[in-house]
Amino acid sequence: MPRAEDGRRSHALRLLGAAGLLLLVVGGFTPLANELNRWLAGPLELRPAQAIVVPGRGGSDPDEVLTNASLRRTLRAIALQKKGLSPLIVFSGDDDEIDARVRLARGLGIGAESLLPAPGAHTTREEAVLLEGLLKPRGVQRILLVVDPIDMPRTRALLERRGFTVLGAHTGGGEATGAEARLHLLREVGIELAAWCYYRLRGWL
Amino acid sequence: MDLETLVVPALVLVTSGGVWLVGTRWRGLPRGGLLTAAARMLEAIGLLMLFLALNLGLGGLAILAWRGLSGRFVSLYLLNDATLGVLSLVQALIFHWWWQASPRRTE
Repeated sequence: MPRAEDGRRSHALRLLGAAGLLLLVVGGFTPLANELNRWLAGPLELRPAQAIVVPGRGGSDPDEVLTNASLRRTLRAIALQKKGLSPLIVFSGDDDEIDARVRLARGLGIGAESLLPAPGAHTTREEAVLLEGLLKPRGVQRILLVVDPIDMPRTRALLERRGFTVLGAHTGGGEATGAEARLHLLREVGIELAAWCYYRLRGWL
Repeated sequence: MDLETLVVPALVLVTSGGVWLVGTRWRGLPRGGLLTAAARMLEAIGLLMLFLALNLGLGGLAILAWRGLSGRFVSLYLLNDATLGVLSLVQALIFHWWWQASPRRTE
């Protein structure tokens, strides 16, 4: 019996290993990751709104420079504000990230009256709660949401549940090129999927 | 798929073919043994996936429990670390070789 049992275990492990290898090949050498990224992003809805909301993403590095993803979101929001799509940019995230974003925006010519820092949230759900408390009293209902494509569904759903009308203005118009970049993107998609499932289980979505 | 994407797999195919030739012609390795080796490799990858899932699951539960018990925030993104994958591979290989060496293990 132990032999048969070991054989079954070996077979199951080989199937699991083959699935893993297949995922590596499909993820790295096909457009799957880019297609998923595009699908998660949804349509671009660049229309006037009462505020441009930029949730935190990765904070800032020890030298107080924003991380790549946070910098992309910040620059996107600044560009949208300069296009005249909204008078107000709301930055959330951790304190250092918000400080760095505000400094960058001010340096690029955005007036202090057009910037609203929203510190104090650690998670996407906490950000949604915080934004509701901050923006609803100001009469803000329609927002342009600036996040990475993969973050759009969960963040949008959370904000819509709080009563906001959300227009998608995701970052990342380009595609991941090269196997390593596509696998990295696929990992990010996997993480976001896990977060989505966790939020659903907790009843937050 | 662009040609640049094919560089890495092509390189691996060429070196694998070279090692196949060296192994079979100069080292006298049995050709049939390659299938067994491939099966062992799949087992090791399967174990890697199990260890990775175990580490991620336990890590996630520990962080959520810590948040609940201490009231302090610890990010789940702590687990988004490539070294966890590498260390899970080490665990998988050690366990696989241990399993192989076990007298119960037969094929």
